[in-house]
Amino acid sequence: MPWGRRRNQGDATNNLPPTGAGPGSAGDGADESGGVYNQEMDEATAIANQGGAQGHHPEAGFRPPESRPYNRDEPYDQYASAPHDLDARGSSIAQDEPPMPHEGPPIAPEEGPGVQPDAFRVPPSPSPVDGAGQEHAMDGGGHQAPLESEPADSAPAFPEPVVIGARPSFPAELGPLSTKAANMSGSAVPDTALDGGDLPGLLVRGASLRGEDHRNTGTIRQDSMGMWRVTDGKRAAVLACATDGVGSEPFSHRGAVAACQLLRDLAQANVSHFLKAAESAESAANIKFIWEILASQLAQQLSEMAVRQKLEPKTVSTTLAAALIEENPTHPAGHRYVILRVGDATAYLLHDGQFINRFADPHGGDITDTKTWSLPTSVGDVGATVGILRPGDMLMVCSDGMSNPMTTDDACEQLARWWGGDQVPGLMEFGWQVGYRVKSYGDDRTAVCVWSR
Amino acid sequence: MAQVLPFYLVCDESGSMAGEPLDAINASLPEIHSEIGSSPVVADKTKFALIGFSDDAEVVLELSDLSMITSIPGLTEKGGTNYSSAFDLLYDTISQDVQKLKGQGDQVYRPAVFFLSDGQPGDEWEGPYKRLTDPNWSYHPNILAFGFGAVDATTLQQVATVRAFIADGTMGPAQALREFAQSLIQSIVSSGSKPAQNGALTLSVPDQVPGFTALPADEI
Repeated sequence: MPWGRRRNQGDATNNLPPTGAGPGSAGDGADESGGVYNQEMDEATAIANQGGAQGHHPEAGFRPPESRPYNRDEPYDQYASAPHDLDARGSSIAQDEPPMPHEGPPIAPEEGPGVQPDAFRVPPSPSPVDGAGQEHAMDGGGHQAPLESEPADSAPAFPEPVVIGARPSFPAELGPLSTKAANMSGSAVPDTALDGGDLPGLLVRGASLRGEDHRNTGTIRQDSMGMWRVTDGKRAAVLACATDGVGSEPFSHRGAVAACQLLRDLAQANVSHFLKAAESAESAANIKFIWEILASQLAQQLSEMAVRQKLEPKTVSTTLAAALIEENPTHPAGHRYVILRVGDATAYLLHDGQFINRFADPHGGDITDTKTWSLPTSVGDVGATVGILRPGDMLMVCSDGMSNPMTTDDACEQLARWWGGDQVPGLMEFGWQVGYRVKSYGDDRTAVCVWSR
Repeated sequence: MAQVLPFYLVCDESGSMAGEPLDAINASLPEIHSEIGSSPVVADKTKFALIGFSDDAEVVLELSDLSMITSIPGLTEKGGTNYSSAFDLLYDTISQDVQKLKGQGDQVYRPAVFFLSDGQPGDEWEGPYKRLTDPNWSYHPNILAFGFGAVDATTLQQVATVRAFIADGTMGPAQALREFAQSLIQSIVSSGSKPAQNGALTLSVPDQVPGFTALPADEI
């Protein structure tokens, strides 16, 4: 599954301090379609399971990703629209639905303070939090409808998005809904995705938000993210990814989703290789060597997925930045990590209140250039680096919708205030934080953060 | 502290532009102003400047946020057609403007120049042009060249770095210039409102403009 359901197993581990967050429902709002078969992920798994020539390099000792079962209960999803239909939202399919059935009891929505479960089934007034995240609460001044069991004025109000630096000249608002039907299963890419998990010593929070430019025009979020615990049976690691579908390509949202999942399979099969390389003397060069090979496998698998969906590979173009962090520290100073990227998605280390870009600053030039390398057809010179995540530090992978506004000191300072302390925010708060507004920065924004605590 | 795509409209003010052509351009300026100035999403991300040239060149409107000014001053016909002064002034103006924007913390995207002329240049302009378009000069702009009247296609293709458009004769100059202004507005609005290449600001270039034939720019 793209990211776990762990968040529904209780809020106790989220370290959620009392904030303005009211009773919440599942953060990503993608549950409406419940159990929809996700063709993209099935495609990704099917390709990964082929193994064969493209997945196996006996010389390098890499194993092809192991096959795993997936849910074939739902009928195979044929797209209603033609491949060259340029309305991306009209051809999108659910990316947040798990292909596998839950092992446990049916999942109930998260319950906030003082809310009876029945109140969710027939709410007396519209819930302020739905698939549109905090934006819904922003309309009409952030008024939150009280639920039956609470006195009218005791529920705290939900905060507006924070404005950092120059204020946009227009209020935050959602644009029109798409008029086109989505795919046959009726789901679309939701505006916002939130996910997170807590392991001993490593706390993960991820948010992928549709940008204001897309909201204003009623077009689809093209960023995606993923977070998993991966293990090849010998070593285990946390994998965090952020992807950014190329804006001008009509199906890049699919590439963004699939790239995370294909990387998950490749990373899982190669955890030990990566971590051993990270421990070696020439760690950066060795990591890069492994990543060059895997990136080209990933590119090939992504192209094949596109072709199977009767799309040109270029139309699913996406950038990617991923962090693989060893679950059990093998270095005295902390958890070893590896960063892998294609294109201008990037990674930062937050240490001592300072954000350090783990790659040479692309904005160091005088004029910002808009070209980027991307999977699958112009991978270019991939990026790879290694480091140690010390206790108290945080590692973030993100799309350029996050790194562009971080060229301003104001944004870095605010983010460091939120994320550089002892407290790790809960999911809703983290999503609200990532949704800060800066004039002119309306791109989709995705950040997956891993704290060592 | 914003990301900005600067647009420069560089317009011929030579004697042959007198009358219908300049009237048409001047009539389009309020429209450019209101279309962009009244769209906060676009105005937040773009800035606009107007340069007129004939024997000399002058900055008629310095690089501005169109939502913050009351109007765009008009152009007036002057003398001959001298491209080198236009390119020299562009080089200096872009240098100052970009440095100023970066000084206030803005992230600046490659400037876009919409160059409009109705006559062949009477001077040697290759030197100033080379300096303006030198790939090693980090601020070198993207140039779209539009032409009608006496200017020839070869010249336009030499001036353009992205695409050139030459009037195809199906419309009078006034109407063709209205179409030109529309395509400028569209380019600014598209560049400012739709994330394109990789989500960052990319110049949205028209493929076709009614009344004009699109031509490829010469390779530099």
